[in-house]
Amino acid sequence: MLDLVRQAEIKSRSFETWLQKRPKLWRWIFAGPVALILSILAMASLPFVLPAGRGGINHLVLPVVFFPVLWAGFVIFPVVSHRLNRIGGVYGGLTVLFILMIVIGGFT
Amino acid sequence: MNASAASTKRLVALHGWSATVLAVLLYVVMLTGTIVVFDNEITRWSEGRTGLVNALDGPVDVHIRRLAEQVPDDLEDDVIVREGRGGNLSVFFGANRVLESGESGLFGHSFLIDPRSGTLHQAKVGFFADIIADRPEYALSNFLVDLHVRLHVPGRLGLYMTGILGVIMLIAAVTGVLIHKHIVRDLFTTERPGKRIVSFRDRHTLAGVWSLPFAILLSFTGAFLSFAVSLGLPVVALVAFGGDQDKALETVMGSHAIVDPTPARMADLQQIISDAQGRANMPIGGLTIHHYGRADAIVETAHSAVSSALRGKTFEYSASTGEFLREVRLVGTDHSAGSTLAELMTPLHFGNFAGLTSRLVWAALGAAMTYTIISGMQLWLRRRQDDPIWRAGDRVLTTVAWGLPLAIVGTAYVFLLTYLADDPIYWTPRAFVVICVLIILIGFLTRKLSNQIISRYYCGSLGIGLLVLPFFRLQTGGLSWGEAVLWRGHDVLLIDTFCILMGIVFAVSAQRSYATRLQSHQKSQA
Repeated sequence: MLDLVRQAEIKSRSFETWLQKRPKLWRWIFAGPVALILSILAMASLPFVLPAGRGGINHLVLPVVFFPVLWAGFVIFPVVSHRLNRIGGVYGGLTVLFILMIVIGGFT
Repeated sequence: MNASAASTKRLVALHGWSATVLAVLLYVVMLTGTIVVFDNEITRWSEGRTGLVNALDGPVDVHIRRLAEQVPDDLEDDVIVREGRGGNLSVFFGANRVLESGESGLFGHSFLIDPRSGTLHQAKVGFFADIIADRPEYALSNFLVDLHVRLHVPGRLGLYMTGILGVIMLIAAVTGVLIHKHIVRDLFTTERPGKRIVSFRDRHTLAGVWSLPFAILLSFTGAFLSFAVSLGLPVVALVAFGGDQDKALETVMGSHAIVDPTPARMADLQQIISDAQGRANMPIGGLTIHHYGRADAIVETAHSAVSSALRGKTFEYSASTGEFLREVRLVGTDHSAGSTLAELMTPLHFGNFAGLTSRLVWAALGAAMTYTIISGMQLWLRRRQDDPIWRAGDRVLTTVAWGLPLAIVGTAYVFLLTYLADDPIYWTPRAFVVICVLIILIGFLTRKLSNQIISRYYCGSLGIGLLVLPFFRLQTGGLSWGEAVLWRGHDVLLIDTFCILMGIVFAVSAQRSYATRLQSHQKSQA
């Protein structure tokens, strides 16, 4: 168990070292194209998980209403956060999560 | 450098760059947004109509039945009744058509009649979008609205651009909050004397901090309004409705469930109008009949907001029985968080929820935000004045900052002139482009003059332009102030007063700047 934790830690550090070679470029990528793609993915995937509500449209309207806020948030986070590997991890995880939500929601 | 200091440095860079990259477009959207808060007043100022009668107060039912007999049955699917030019009644009968030329949309017959006698003033055949666009009195206000909403870029591209500007503004506002450590103290900043960097920073901080909540609200609602139909609907339709946008729109808007094409006699519209006015507690502003002449026909009545409400009301009635069906919500069929939020967006963006008072507040805060953009750019350029590339930016900023209001005032003159010839729709946008080119040319030719001198000329020209505009309107057949009082044309008085007051402010400011320069020149000679 301890070995696994240590291996994950080593991988995380090497990922950070790789990102730290060009920190400015990576921040631009995370705050620029990645933030836009993430916010569109969020808007596309949230209709599958949000409740429809009494009017039957909350799940369709709320992601569209909050799209600008999500986009702005995804732009600001890489600028505020110090650790690049944390940004990479959060954004990578969210991308996988949103895509899974769309795939699962689309088939059911 | 510790993490917090590095983050703050990055935030300051994001705050500056986010606004700088598209500063000119942001300024165009903000300034026109401040003006179009009064778009209805500008329309009525442009038209200068005499008459107090609501066009839909007449025998609407009689007129529609008479006109329906003159229209082919296959073009009677939708009937749209509105107030038309000069206070007349505009009635459009049409159906969705795709013409051989490839054009598609609501196509049919349009009539402009006297609301009382029913005397026909004008009859046209064409697409509804073209017919409603052909309103000369709307040329100036529609031009300004279009510049604000889509920067005159056609299709979705214009909406994407203004949506991106909204998000950029939102980022600039949020990062502004994060980088200001003493936001309450900054509310009471006084400008330090001299034209030093700190003076520019004080000005920018003061205007920015006061308009901060408003900047967040406006940029958020503006970005939503731009992206909702251009991006949000297609994305939601793609994933949740297999790309069927019509089905997505039908689900979101709520559709007429019953379909019954059996021919049926239409109920008395007069009774429906009277009932709707009672329910809304406001006069009817427009009326639409879907599936005219069929058993499943629906009448939609639209009403402006009462003083205590954020939005106007729309009711649905069965057109065959006259029975009240429901109050139509902007989205969905019932109250929900989504429908409430969507309904709040427009009134919060345009400030049209408490009459003239709220719109005056919105215009004042919009002006503060416009000034924040200009003062932010001044600060940005002042910090980089040693760099020759950014030094040229100072002249560009002066030309754009003064040039845009000058071009808008110049366009208003051309509009008034061409309104006489009944062709302002063609000339208004073209005049704006020509005046912009002229101002850029003047900016280039006078590049040797100091920024202070050229700013004074621009300021003085804008002052004189605004001062003379109301008198030019009077000379081009506009409503006189006496007639405006008599016919309750308060909008004419409001816009004229605003032009004169702002004209005096700019003219006096230019004159003072000249006097100060003359004084310092005399002192240096002595």
